[in-house]
Amino acid sequence: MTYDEAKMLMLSYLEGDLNNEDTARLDAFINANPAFRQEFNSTKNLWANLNQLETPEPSAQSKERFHAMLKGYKEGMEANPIPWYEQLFKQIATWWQGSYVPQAIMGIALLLLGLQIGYNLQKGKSENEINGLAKEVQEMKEMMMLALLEKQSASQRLKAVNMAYEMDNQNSRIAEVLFQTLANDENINVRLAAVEAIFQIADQAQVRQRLIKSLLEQESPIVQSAIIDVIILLQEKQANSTIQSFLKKENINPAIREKAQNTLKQL
Amino acid sequence: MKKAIINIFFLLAICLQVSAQNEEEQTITVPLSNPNAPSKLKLHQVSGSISVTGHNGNNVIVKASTEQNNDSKIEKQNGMFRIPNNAYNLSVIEKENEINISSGSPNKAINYKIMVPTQCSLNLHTVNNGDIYVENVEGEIETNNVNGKIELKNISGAVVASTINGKVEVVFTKINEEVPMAFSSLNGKIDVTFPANLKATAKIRNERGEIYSDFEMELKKTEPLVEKDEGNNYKKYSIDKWVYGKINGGGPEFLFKNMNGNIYIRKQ
Repeated sequence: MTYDEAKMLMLSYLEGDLNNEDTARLDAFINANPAFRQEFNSTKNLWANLNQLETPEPSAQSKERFHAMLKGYKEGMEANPIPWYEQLFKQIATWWQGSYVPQAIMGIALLLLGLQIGYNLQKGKSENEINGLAKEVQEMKEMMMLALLEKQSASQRLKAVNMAYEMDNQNSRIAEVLFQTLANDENINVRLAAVEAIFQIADQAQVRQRLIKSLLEQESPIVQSAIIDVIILLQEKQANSTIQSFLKKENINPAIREKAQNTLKQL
Repeated sequence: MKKAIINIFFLLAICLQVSAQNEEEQTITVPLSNPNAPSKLKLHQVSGSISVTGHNGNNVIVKASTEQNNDSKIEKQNGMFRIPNNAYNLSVIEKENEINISSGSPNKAINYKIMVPTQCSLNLHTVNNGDIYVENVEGEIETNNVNGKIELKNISGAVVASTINGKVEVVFTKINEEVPMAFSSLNGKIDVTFPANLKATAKIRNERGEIYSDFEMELKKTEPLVEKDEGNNYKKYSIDKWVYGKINGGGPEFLFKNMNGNIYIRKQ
């Protein structure tokens, strides 16, 4: 038996869990080595003394100190609380580590939300684009109308006047162009078409007044008749004075004179 | 045979008429600067008739005449004879296939007989003492008359015609499909014959006359216009007196307006 082995056996003996055979071997070693016997005795004494040591009771002061420390920590926490996002993050983290079902639901919901946002953005964009295009088309139509009105050919000018039906009714430029045509176009049929086109936008009082006044400027009985028809349709009471001054004109076609007189009765 | 006899009578009648009028005729022939391209002719006058016929040549032939009054013996004044004053001024300007005919004597009734190349757009105005007559022309035709009729025959293209005291008669052989047209009169019938395959939207208004057509028209019902007058607190209902009819599905707008006379829209 070596010295180290004897030391191990000695510790087991002191603990009290050494079997009889090993106790006999240890006794033999102790008896053979007086130096080890001395060490064994001193260690045995120490062990015995350790068992006799009393566990000290915690003092009343230590308890107080602990509470003071805890209170200090609490106060520190209240002064510098954990930010809400960290708390939320922590909560989500705890929740997140749960089952896969909520994770899957969350994923799908986010995907749908994204799609919806994307669709809405796209929709807004395309609506803007459509509005922009419609405006451009309107402007192009206007330009085309003006270009056509410059043409020598009466049928092309007629086409231009008819284009006014497709345009924005509230556009004052269109009204102006139509009135110019009514006043200056050399062709009676083009002027006639202009009267009809102006009638379409006659919901503006200004336009009505101007159309009624134009009766005095027109020489052609066909156009005069068309304007009187429009006056009847509009039931514009203020047209009375215009028709009266129209009737004072000379060289009015008898049929138109009769018609104007009848109109006065109708208004 | 019957037809031939009628034709002869017709010719005789024309000859007689010409000789009766004792016209003094002048002819101006104008070559086109670009003979193969379509041309345009403009003639605005106050008095006299205009007749334009398409021919196969490349030039424009203008024949102008005034009605003479040679009965100088009758018109004596204080022992003097009236010397016929038949001089008139006439100018024909050709510029890049555009021909403009004008007379410096607006009070003189000048009757024109003009031959143009078939492809020619016309702009013809007259006011008194004459009719407008066009035949065998391809192009856009604009005619205005006041105290006379308008007669257009064998026309290809588009027409805008207006007269006050006279009828408007048009016969198309072919029409320009995209161009709107207009026919108006006050005291005369409007009679227009179109090819059977016409596609158009007719917009018709006839105050005291009737409207006839052998085209099947899909008539649009016009909704009464309702207007509110906020100030006087009343509502007004009015109906547009225009008749809208789609022919063969509809197309460019053809306007027909008359007051005292019927409107005929015929199918060839």
